[in-house]
Amino acid sequence: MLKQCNKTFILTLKIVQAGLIASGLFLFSISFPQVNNKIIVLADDKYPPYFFRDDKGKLQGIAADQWKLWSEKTGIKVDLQAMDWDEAQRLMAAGKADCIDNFFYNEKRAKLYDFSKPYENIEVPVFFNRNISGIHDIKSLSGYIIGVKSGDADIDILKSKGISNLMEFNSYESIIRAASNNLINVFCIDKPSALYYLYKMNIAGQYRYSFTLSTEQLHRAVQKGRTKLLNIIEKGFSEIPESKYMEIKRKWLGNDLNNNNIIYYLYYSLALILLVILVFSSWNYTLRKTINKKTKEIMKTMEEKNKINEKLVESRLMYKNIFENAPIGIFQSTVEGKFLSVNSLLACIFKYESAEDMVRSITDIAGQLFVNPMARKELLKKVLKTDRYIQTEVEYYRKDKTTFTANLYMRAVRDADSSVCFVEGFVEDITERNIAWNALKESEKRLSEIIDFLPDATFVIDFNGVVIAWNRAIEEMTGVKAASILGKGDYEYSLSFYGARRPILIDQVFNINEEIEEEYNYIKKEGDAFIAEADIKLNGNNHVFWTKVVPLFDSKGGLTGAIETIRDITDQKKAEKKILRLNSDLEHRIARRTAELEIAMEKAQDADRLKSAFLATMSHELRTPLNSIIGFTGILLQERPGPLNQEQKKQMEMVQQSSRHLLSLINDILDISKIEAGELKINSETFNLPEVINKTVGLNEPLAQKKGIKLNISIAPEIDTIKRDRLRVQQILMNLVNNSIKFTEKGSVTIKCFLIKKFVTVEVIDTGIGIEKDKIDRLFKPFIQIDNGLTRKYEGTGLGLSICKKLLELLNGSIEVRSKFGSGSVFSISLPV
Amino acid sequence: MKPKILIIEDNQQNMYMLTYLLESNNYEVFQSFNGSEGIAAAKGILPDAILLDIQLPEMDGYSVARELRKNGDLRDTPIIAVTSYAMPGDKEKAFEAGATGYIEKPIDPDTFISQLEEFIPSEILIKKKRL
Repeated sequence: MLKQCNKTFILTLKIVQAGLIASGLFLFSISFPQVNNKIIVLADDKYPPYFFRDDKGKLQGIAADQWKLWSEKTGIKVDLQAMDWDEAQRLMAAGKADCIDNFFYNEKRAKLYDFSKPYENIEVPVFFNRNISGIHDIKSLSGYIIGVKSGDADIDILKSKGISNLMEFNSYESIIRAASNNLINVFCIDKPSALYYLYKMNIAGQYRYSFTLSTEQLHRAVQKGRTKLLNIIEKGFSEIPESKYMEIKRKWLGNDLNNNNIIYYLYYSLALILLVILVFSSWNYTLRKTINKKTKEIMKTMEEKNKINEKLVESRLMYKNIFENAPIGIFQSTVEGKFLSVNSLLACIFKYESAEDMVRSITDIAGQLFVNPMARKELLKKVLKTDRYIQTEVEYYRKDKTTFTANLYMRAVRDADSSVCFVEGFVEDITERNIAWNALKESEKRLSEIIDFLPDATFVIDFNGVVIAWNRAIEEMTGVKAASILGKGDYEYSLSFYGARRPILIDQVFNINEEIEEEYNYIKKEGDAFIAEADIKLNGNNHVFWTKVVPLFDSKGGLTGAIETIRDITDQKKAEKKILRLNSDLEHRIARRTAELEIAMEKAQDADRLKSAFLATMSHELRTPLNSIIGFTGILLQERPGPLNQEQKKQMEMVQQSSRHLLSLINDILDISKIEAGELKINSETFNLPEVINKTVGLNEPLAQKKGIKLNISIAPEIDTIKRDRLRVQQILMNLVNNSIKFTEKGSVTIKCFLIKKFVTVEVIDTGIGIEKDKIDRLFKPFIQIDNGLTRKYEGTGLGLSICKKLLELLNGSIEVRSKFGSGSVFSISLPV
Repeated sequence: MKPKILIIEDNQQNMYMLTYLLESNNYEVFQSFNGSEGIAAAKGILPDAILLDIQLPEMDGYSVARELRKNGDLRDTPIIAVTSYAMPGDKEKAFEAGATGYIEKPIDPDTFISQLEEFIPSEILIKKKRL
C-alpha cells in the first residue's frame, strides 16, 4: 500500500516540477531589489554541488545560492559567470572580473590574489573500484592509472610523491563516466563533486574511497590589492545568518540532485499555489511531510549502503590476509590451465620468485607443472562433476624441474546459472610428510620384526582388545598363525590357551577382574606390570606358563594397549621340584651327619673326661705305692728302725733315687697332659719373688753341695712382689736351677734377678757343658734330652724345659737360652710385673 | 699325755708308715680305714688332730671333712688333708670342705713331721714337750 502511495506521489511531483520551473525563474528575477553597483564573479561551471549547470544549461549550486543571498544583503548585483576553470582563472588574471569563487589557496596564487577567509573544507580522497584491493596509502597507487582533473591541486601532490601514471580529464563528470565504463578504476578528486556524480550515475555502490590525499579550503579571491572589495564581499557573507547557510547545504548536499531539486522547487511553487489555489494548501502540507520522510529514508538507505560497503572492504582485506598468510598454497585458475591468482606460499612451494612471477610464467598448468599432464585432465573430470573439493596426490615439477609430491584439493567455482567460472584449490607439499610416514612405517616394521624375533611367546593388543602383533614363538606355542589372528578382537587370543573367549591376564591392564585370579597359581603386580603363573593344558600336554603383561602408553600417557609375553616353564618347574627334593635330601643328610657328629663329639668329650679321670686315677694309683716306697726308704735311711751297714745304705739310696725319679716322671707327664688338655688352672696371687727364689735355691742346696757346686744369688733391690701363680713360678725356677746343677760338673750356678722395664727377668747362669748352637731349638721339645743316646749321662724326663716353656706362655712370660758349648749356658725367663 | 691323732687312710702301707712316723714322734695314733668309721671314731675319741686322706673309697675326704665340721666338738679340731698332687683345685677343695692343713703325697719322712706340726696349734704341741 505504502509503495503504491509513494509512486503516485512521485508521479505527481514530476508533473508539478515540469510545470513550475519556468515560473520559479521568473519570480527570482523580479523579486530582488535593483542596485547601482554590479560585480562580476567567476566560477567553475563543472564543480557540483557548488557550481554546475543543470540539464538545461542553467547555472546553479551552493555557491550560486550563497551569492544570491549576498546580493540581497548588500544590494550589489552579482553577475555570476561560470565557465571552464582554466578560462576563469585566465580571465581573472587578466582583470576581466572582480572575484573568483571556490578558489583553493596556494603560494603561487597568493602573489596574484587576496583571499577571503576559508568558508568550506573540501576533502580530496582516493576513490577506487571495489574489485581492487590493497589501496591504503599513496605508494600503493603505483601500478594503477589514476583519474585526475586538469588544473586540480592534487595533481601536484601526487606527482610530488612519485605517482606519475595520471590520466587527466577536463571535468569531474567525465572522470566519473570513465570510471563507470571501467576505463579507470582509481581516481582522485574533490569528495563533494565525486559523490555527486557517483550517485548521479548510479555507481556509488561500486566505488569506495580510502585515504584522503589532501584537504583543501574554499576561498573567494580578488585581484591583489582590492582589499576594499574583499571587505565588502566578506562583510556581506558574514551578515548572512548561519541558518541560511545550513538551509542551502541541506538543499545541496543531499545525494540525489533531482530529489533535492524537487524539494527546492516545491517550497517556492507551493507559495504560489497557496496564493492561487488555497484548496491545495493542506494537501501540500501532507505532501511535504511525506517527502521529508521519504528523503530521510533515502538518506538512511544510503548510510546503510555505505556501512555495508565498508564492511565489504574489511572482509575483503581479511580474506586477502588469509589468502596471503595461509600455510598452504592457494590458487585460482581457469579450467583450461592458466592461473588467475596464486598466493605467495604456492609460488614458494613451486620455487617461483613471487606470486606475480608464477602467474606470468605459467600458461599451461598441466603441461608446465604436472609430471603427468593427463592427471590434471582426469582430476578436472571429477572436479567438474561436483561443487565439492576433490583431493588427489599429484607429482609436480618445481621451477627448477625438480619434482615433489603434493596433496591437491580442487573444486569448481560456478556463477548463478551454475556454469563454471574458474577452478580454485589448495596445494600442500607432502614430500616431508611422506618421508615421515615412511619412517614411521619402517619403524613399525622394525618393531614388529623385533617382537617376532623375541624367544618368548608374545602378542600385543590395542585399546579395543584387537590383536596387533603375534610373534613366531607364540605361533609355535599355540599353533595359531599370525595371519589368522591379527586384527581380531573379542578375546580371540584366549581361545588359543583356554578354548574359550574370556578375559585373561592381559585384560587386567584395562580392568582388574578378580575372577581371573582363580585361573592362575598366583598374580602379582610389579609397578604397571602383571606377573602370573598358570597351569595350562595345551595340545593335550600339561604346561606351566609364566607370563608377564605390561600396559602400553602413548607419549601423552594415555593407555593404548598391552603386551603379554608367555614363557613355558614346565621343564624349569620340574627341575625346581627336583632341586627342592635334592635340597630336602641334602638337608636330611646334613641333619643326620650333624647328629652323628654331635654323638661323636659327645663321645670325644666323654673320652676327654675319661682321659682326665684316667690320668687322675693313674696318678693316684701310681703315687700311692710310690708313696710307700719313698716313705719307707726314707724311714730306713733315717735308721730309725735300726742301723744299716754301708752296702745296705748305698742300695737303699739307689731305691730312693729311682723312686724319686719315677715320681718326677709321673708329675711331669701329668703336667704335660694337663697343659695340652687346657686343664691347667692358672691362679693369680701377689707374692714376694725374692722369697720364692731363695726357697727354690735352698731346696737345691743339698744337691749342689753334693756335687761341690757353688750357688750364687743376686737380686736387684727394686725386685719385690709380683702377681702371678706362685706355685707355677716356683716350679719353673725349680726346674731351671735343678737342670743347671744337673748339667754342671764344676764351678757355679748363679741366679740373677733384675727388672727390665716392666718385666722381671730371672737368669740361671751355669758353668756347665753348654749346648751346641744347632740343637738349641730342640731344647723345648718334649721328651728330648740333647745328649740323646743309649748312654744317657744325665737323668731327667726331658719334659722339664718343655713344661717350663708352656707354663711361661700361660703366665704371659717367655724363656730364652744363650749358650757357649763346653763353657756354660744362660736360661733367662721374663715375666710381666 | 701324748697328743691324740686320728689317721683316716684306706691304704694299709701308708697307714703303717704314717703311724710309724707319728708314734716314733710321741703321738698317740688312732686308725680308721674309711670315712664313716673315721667320723665315728673322731666323735668318740675327740682327737687333737686328724690326718685325712682325700682319695677314700665310698665317702671321699671332702665329705668326711664336711661331716666332721658339723659336730660341735670337732669344729676347731685341726684337719690336715693328705693328697697326691693330682688334679687342679684339689687343695682349694680341701680347704673349702673344712681342712686346716694340706700335705702333698708322696710324703717325705725327713720333713713330714715338721710339715704336719705347722698346722697344729702350739698348746697341743706343748703336751709333747711335757713328756
